[in-house]
Amino acid sequence: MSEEMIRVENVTYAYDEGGGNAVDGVSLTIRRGDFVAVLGQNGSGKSTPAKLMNGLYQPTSGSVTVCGMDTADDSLTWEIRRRAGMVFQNPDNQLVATVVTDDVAFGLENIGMDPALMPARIDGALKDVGMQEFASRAPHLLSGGQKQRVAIAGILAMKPDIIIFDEATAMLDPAGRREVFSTVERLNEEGITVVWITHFMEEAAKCRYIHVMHGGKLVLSGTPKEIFADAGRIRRLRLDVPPMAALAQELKQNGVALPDGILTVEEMVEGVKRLAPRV
Amino acid sequence: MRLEFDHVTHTYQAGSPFQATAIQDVSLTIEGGEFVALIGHTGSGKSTLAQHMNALLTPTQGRVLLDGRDINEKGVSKKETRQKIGLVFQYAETQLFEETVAKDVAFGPRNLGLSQEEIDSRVREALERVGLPFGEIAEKSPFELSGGQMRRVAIAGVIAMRPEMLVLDEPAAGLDPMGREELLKLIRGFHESGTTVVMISHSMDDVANSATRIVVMEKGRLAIDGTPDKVFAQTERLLGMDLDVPEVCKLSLALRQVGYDFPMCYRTGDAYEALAALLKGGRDRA
Repeated sequence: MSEEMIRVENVTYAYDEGGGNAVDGVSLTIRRGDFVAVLGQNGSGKSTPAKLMNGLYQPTSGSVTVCGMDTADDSLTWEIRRRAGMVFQNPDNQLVATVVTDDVAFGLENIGMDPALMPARIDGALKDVGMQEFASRAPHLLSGGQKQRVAIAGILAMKPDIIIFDEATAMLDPAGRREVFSTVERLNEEGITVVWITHFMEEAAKCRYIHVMHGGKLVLSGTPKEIFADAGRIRRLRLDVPPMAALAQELKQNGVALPDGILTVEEMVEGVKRLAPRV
Repeated sequence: MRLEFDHVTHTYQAGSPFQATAIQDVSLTIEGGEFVALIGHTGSGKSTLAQHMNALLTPTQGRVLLDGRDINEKGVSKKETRQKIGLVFQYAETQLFEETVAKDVAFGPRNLGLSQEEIDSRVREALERVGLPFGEIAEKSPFELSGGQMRRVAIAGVIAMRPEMLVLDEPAAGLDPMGREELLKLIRGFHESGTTVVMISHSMDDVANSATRIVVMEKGRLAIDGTPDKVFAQTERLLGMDLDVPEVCKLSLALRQVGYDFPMCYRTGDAYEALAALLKGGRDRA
């Protein structure tokens, strides 16, 4: 089995003393190269684990280990954040500079990198997200999807092992969403471990593994086909299944012998071809 | 009621180096009782168009007419226009400001100069209409509520004005799938009870299941305008514009492309019926 990147062990987290637990007894492991989705309704606590994973929050009890480093050890915080970067929901809240390159340089300056080494790093990072042509542009004039790609470049410049995306496409339009998601898919193929927190079931369906949070607890874990196999169960958690999965399940319940695990249009077309000869 | 755009163009910061034309020569008429979905990319001009509907923005050229009268003409009360046409902004919950939910919802009616008794009854009615129990919620701070509840409070504030037309900019953005569905159900309810609805949305599935008419904006111009079946019949064109279509449209298209005689469906229910007919027949033959 590949190397363990993040280990969350029996973690509980409460925002206020006496308040409820936002995260309640969660354990999970993320390995090198994984592409893991975290799903959950609004308020389910699905964003809290992300903030625990790079030391932004400390667990109330239990432990979080990132690349072998305990997040409770203050002396390791900067190294943890360099290796496990985070991209947030609102593109406008994470860009700080007036020129794209300066924005990407921000993290490097913070870790005190030799300025002579920066340009190569920045170029490489912008290239990785397909934004090199925009290097001298003003970030506020970019589209939402482009802004998020610049935010990702800022993380990539730090040479991270893991990137945690906290609803990074929630404020984008469908084209921007596709643009960011396909960038992330490519980065994953190149070896970056990805944690993808989302409300969009079609995005989760493209991840390799899904964790579902509900009421602060981890209630379901599995591959997309396993998680979306039972539309009723997912809807009781106030989530949904991708449209093709819903359609296939309803047809199967009514006696149509489609194969199990249909999630996409392509899979549905294959299922139809097997059952119905073309006229 | 009837809202008419007559060759409307809007240029931001006209005459400055930052000049940008957001909508160009848009003509369209919305009749009372319609449920119009306004779609297009970020930057296509949808929000600018929406903000002309209640005189929040004034056309650089052209006119906006409500029941035949230019709403930007001198002597036409903007207050009255805005009472008739309510605008719910994107992430509307960020505009809540009062100490209690009831006070926040009462803000608009109070500005209309209504009696306290009338204000109270409107607040109660508006909260109930957005599915929030008045008794439990009226005296709470809006900031103690969940994001979805806060958005409903913001919508209640507009509903309390008893508008004839409701313009909503991405009302379901950021909500989880069930929260989304509940909010859409609410908006369909407003429409069924007689309110004209204009909804900006990026989610074609939401649009396909609610709207009676779809207006597609592209680069500031009106690109397509028609009933959902007419608009989704042009699925290939929509995809070419890099817009989304409902998944069942993609399925219909894919099945037709591989040689099936399959109808162009845009609602899940229709796709189910068509698939059931095709596959049950197919199974018998196999």
